[in-house]
Amino acid sequence: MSILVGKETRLIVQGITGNWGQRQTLNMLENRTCIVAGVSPGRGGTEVLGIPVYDTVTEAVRYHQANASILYIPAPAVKEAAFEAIESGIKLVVIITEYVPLHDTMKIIDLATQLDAWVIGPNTPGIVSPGKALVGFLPAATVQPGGIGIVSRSGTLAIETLRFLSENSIGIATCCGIGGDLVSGKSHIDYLKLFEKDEQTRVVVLLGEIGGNMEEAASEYIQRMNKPVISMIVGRTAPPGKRMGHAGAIISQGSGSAVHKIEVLKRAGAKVAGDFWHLVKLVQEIQ
Amino acid sequence: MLLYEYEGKRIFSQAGIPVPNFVLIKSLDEVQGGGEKIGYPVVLKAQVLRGGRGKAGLIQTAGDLSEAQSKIEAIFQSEQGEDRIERILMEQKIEGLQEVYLGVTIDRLAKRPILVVCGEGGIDIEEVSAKSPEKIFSLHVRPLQGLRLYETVDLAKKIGIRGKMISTIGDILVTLYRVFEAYDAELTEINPLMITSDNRVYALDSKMIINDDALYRHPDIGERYRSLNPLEKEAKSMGLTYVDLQPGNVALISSGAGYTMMVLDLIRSFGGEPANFMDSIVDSRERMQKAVEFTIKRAKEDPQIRSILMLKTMSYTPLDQMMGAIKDAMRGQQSPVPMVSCLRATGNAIRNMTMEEAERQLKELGIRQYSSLRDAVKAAVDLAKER
Repeated sequence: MSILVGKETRLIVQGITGNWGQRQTLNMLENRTCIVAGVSPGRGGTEVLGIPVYDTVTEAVRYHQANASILYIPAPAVKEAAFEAIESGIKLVVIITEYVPLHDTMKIIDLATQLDAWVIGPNTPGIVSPGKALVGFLPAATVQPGGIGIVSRSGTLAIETLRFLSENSIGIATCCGIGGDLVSGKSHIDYLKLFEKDEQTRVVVLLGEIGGNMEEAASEYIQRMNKPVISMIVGRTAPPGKRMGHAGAIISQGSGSAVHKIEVLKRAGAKVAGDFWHLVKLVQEIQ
Repeated sequence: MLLYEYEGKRIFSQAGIPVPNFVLIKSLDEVQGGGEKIGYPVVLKAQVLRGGRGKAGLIQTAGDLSEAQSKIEAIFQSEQGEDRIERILMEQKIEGLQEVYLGVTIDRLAKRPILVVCGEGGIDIEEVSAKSPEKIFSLHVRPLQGLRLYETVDLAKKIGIRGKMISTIGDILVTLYRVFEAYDAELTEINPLMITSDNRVYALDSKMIINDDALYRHPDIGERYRSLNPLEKEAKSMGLTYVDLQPGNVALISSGAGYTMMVLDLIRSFGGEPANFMDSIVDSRERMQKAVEFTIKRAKEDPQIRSILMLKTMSYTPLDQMMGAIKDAMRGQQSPVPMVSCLRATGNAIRNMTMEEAERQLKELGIRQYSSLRDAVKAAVDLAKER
């Protein structure tokens, strides 16, 4: 098994007829993802890359038993598209789009919580279970299946970590980018809970960054986990008060600093790596 | 984006939250008219985005025209250059019985707005919540449902509000939440709200932060990117994300904030100091070219910059397009400092160009290409230290 996505994933692509949606759809198909339909209001009845396109998510769900959706939708239209997916019964909604207004994100999450849907993102590279499914644009072709579960706040950090692990022949169960915004669908702790239960995952890698207290909250759960957790927190040398590009990556008033996060993670029993090479070494020692 | 006090107060006032009468003074000849309109004594508050105005002497009171004139002149003259004070808010001085703190912000972990109240006003909320958390009360709001008036009653009572004032405070809280939602705020704060002896309330200060990603919905709010420095603003106007970290000796082109923060840590671990960071996640080949051009231009303008480090991992972005952007950026200009790269491409990225070909072209351009990230960072730092 793997978490959230796998062979059983039946994906729809909302925004499949756009350039962005089409290119990414091709990439996902090449990585063996089962894409059952596309949705693009006004384009129902057409096809993209041999995939049937519908006007509404409801139709895509009815005719193809879709259970997951990925959104390649411009930021101002994301809220309505996500509402449609969630209210049509989709239980996994992956929002790739950057710059989604925060209040829209909070409303999407509110609805998802009420209807028991899992939201990844916004501002995420998605999720991959190598050999089974790629939902998003994480590198998949060069990544082997294996026993490592990765959860990351930053997309590029997840991508580089996958590369380093792959170069050292370390295989991945699932890798997921939570999302880089101030508020994301789920937090580190939610993914840790899934990894703890997942049979394929043997070691969990938690990639965090300065700002907020998601890593601190995860630490409380790490204490109770049976599986080993290896963490890496970036931004150790970032100046306080400077926004580093991610909306979330900002240290204010001394809270959310890397030093504090590292200390709390260590106390909870996680091993903490200083850089990619150290991370690879720690994974190799545990495996 | 942080709003000025007067912008927040205008928004509060329009929404129905009472604020003291005020005028905005932009020059000394506006003082007399302003004073006549407001009536002495007045409070004078410099409109700046940084905190600690009281301690810096940027908040004053004046009992008459001559006092107002001399104090306003002093405030205008207190800062020069970039930090120059352009506006001073002159407002009615309100006396009252009690000050309270009311705020709405976002609980990132709960993924919901949270109302925060305290029976003391004019406080540093972060400090009080760290030192005396028992003085602070809060309530989460369901984003789709919004705040109900009845939910505010307990909150008001907890901070010692009694009688008819409970519903007055409740109305203010509901309005404050409405403003928070309508303006896509990350924070709306009244600190303090003054309660007067005749049972009126006034927001004596305002603090609002608007979510940058939602600014397009608020065309009435001007002066975008006000928190960015001039260089960052210039980059933004070209569609680029540039973070200035001067003083430093290594200029950096890299992908995304998370990975870049790792690289910044790495640069410092080798004894270098990052000067800036240009995000190479861009939506077109032209933008990539501009990103490289901008970084080279920075190295020309800033003598402290001694090397340029360029990092890009591509599994999707075509390598030939990346190389084209770099070549075009360097066509018209020579970099004044050595350039080091760690470009790595796999999968779909190498459909039209092999990594070997890219390496050959980089060499031709005089760029030292390394396949290992660590070697590249170390080389850039060593070159910066040498010179």
